[in-house]
Amino acid sequence: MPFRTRLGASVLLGLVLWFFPEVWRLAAPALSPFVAICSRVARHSLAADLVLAMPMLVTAILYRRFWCRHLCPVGLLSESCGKLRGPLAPASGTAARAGSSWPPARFFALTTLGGAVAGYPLLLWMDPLALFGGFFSVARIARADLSALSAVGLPLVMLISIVFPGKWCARLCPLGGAQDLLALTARPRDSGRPRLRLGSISHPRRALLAAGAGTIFAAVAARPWASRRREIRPPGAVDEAAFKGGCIRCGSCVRACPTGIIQPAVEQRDVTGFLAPRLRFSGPDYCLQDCNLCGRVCPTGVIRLLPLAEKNRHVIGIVSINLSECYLTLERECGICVARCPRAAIVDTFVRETYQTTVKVVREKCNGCGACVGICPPGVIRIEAAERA
Amino acid sequence: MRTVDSRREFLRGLAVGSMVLPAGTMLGQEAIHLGSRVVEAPNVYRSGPAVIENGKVVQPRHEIRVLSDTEVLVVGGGCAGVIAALAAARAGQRVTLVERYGCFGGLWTAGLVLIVLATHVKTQAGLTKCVRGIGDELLQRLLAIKGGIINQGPGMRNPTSDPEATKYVMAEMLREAGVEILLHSWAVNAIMQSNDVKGVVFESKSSSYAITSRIVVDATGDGDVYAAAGAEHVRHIHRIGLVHRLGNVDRIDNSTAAAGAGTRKPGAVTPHPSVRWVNMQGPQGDCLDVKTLTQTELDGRRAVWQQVKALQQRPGHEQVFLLDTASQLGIRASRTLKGLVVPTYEEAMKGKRYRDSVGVGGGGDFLGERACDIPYGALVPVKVDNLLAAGRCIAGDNLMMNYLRLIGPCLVSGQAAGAAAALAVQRRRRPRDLEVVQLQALLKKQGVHFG
Repeated sequence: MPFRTRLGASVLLGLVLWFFPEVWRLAAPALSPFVAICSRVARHSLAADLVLAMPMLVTAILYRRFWCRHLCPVGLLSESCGKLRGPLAPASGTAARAGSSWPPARFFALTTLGGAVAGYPLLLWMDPLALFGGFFSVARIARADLSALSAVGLPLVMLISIVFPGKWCARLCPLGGAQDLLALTARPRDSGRPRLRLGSISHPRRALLAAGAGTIFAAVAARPWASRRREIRPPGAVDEAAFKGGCIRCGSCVRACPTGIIQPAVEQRDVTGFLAPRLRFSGPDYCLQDCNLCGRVCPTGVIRLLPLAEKNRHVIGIVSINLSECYLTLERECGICVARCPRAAIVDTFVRETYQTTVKVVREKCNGCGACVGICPPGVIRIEAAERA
Repeated sequence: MRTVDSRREFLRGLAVGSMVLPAGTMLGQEAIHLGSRVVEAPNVYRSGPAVIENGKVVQPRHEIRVLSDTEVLVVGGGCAGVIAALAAARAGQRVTLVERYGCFGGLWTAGLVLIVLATHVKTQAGLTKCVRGIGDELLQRLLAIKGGIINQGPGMRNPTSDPEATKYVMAEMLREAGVEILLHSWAVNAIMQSNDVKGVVFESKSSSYAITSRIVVDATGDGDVYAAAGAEHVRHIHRIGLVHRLGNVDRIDNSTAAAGAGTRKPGAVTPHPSVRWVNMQGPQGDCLDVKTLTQTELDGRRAVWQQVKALQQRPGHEQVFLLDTASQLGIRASRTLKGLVVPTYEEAMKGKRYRDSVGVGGGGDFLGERACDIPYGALVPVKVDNLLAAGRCIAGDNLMMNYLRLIGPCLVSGQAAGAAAALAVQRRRRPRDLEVVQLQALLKKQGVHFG
């Protein structure tokens, strides 16, 4: 495939994802069978949109590394970086040696699939689409801390490619590994004609080992190491374990959120939840009533696409007000949360005995959108993660 | 003698005249007892009694006496009205200020809301004074009075003043500026000619009277004038309070107070060490409903007495006494105008600068340390002409209303309304047609800070 065509495809993909983020929801599973399968296995839900992944799945079986050769923007960048150090040896080109041995890429792919069975696909974030998307979320990351890591994947790949040209695509990329494995199921090395022979994977014991290791590691990491603390997830998020497992950290929700409250999680010791999006309320920003963009862009469906009315009923978190520090309790001018609440879920409550007005949350109306959090002058309103089944 | 075109018109004229004349008449000279003497009293104008017609109480149609004609009529002598009157008078206009109670300052003084909030913003360079101009001049003059104000001066903000000193200084400033003052007069209606406000009708001990005016500034707080004039507005239900002050607070003996509890003095600081003022976050209510106002007043005063009694029973607090309750109920919001511009919280948080800014207010609790532009459009009704709003009742969304009602922003909007009214008279323009640049130049000349 000529360089120019591949550049065009990559630029097009980038532009479409940047300007039409909702395409991402369908594009990511459609383009990366690795993402589609592992994410859904992790959630233990084989959603209908798996059908989306079918064309690319079949293409990958029939035409080895079609994605890498023709479409992958990360592969293009990696290859270009590799060329910085002079022309590539023919053997080190994209996927040139793939299939000739058992590169780590296949371990990564199988380990991730194995992990997905236990609910946590370990290396799903290494998918080139996730790395590509994650990079562009850096503009929306509010704080200079570890959350910036969600954007370093792509630069890291480029660095690897400069130092070890061609190694990323051929030996490391799990989507590449997954494609190799898919191609191998149909076409053993020595046969020229494609036909489906599932038993033809060259090293079945290695494959089993890789998948098993993934499952065991995920079972170990995802259960006891998982933090007990629940994070406030974007509206429509599936339950906590499935969310942390199914999310590929592509950052599209971070990019999409118009108020910038969706940020990668970094403060917890929870390995499985690292860089998964959660809500941070600051200043006047909150989860808007007329927005479900995060659900509309999520490629894995861990943020479900809910109609607006349903999304607004979805309880993001539970609000709590420390009334002893509330300005009204101190007889200071306030009551701003009452005026601010878009759902009229905070009300002035007059207590006749003390002849004082205080504020009260109407639980049935509150969805934890956080409009009251950043605006509270003494900062006594908090949102805590909702207990969800 | 006017010639009459037809007999029918002559008869119609007779009928109208007979309706008007008996209803509103000068009752002529009355005798009045002055001690042991009987002297001649001045005329008392009476509109004639209301009558019952078909079982309904009806006020007969009558002419209303025009007490005076002026260039700028400011209705309401609260802080916004006082500053508006001063701004217009200093710009060279003939100004009449009408107040329903017997003193100036409104909620600041009669309402005992003694703290002047949102005057400054804190920046890295320190405190920046936002509320300048006539409002700041007033605060400076209070500073010159012994016990007039506390926390006023460089490095301090949100001062608390003494209500009596404030009433006095306001009256002095108004008299120095040559403002014609009328107290004890309650605005009851707007005088309209098509879409233009031509004056206001007041009720008083001298019966109803009208003041006609080129421009009217509605500084009633409740937007009574613009509501009567038919200007679009938004109603609010808000908390109503009844502020009180405690005396002998300096005699609280904390050594006998229970350890830990009750060492915090009740209420907030005043210029007098022995006095504290206590805010009240009372029940929500419709401040335009007289029964609500009555009930809140009665309940609030009872609650204050119970609170003070409870306080006196705390060890060491025996000497504390109830100095006074506010003579004016603490209305936080009743109406806000639908202005040409309605400032919103979201805009304020983005630090929006309005092209038609008439000054900045200081930082507010929920707005953080950002000086807030007050747009001229927030004072101008969407439709009604020759009318400007000032103070609490100007336009603002549900949140900004909670900022614009504070004294700091009211001082700014008051001065803007007064200056704009003066300019409208000078230029013979409707307030909505004023050149904002000229208004801003006048306000700058009067010391207003634009951030």
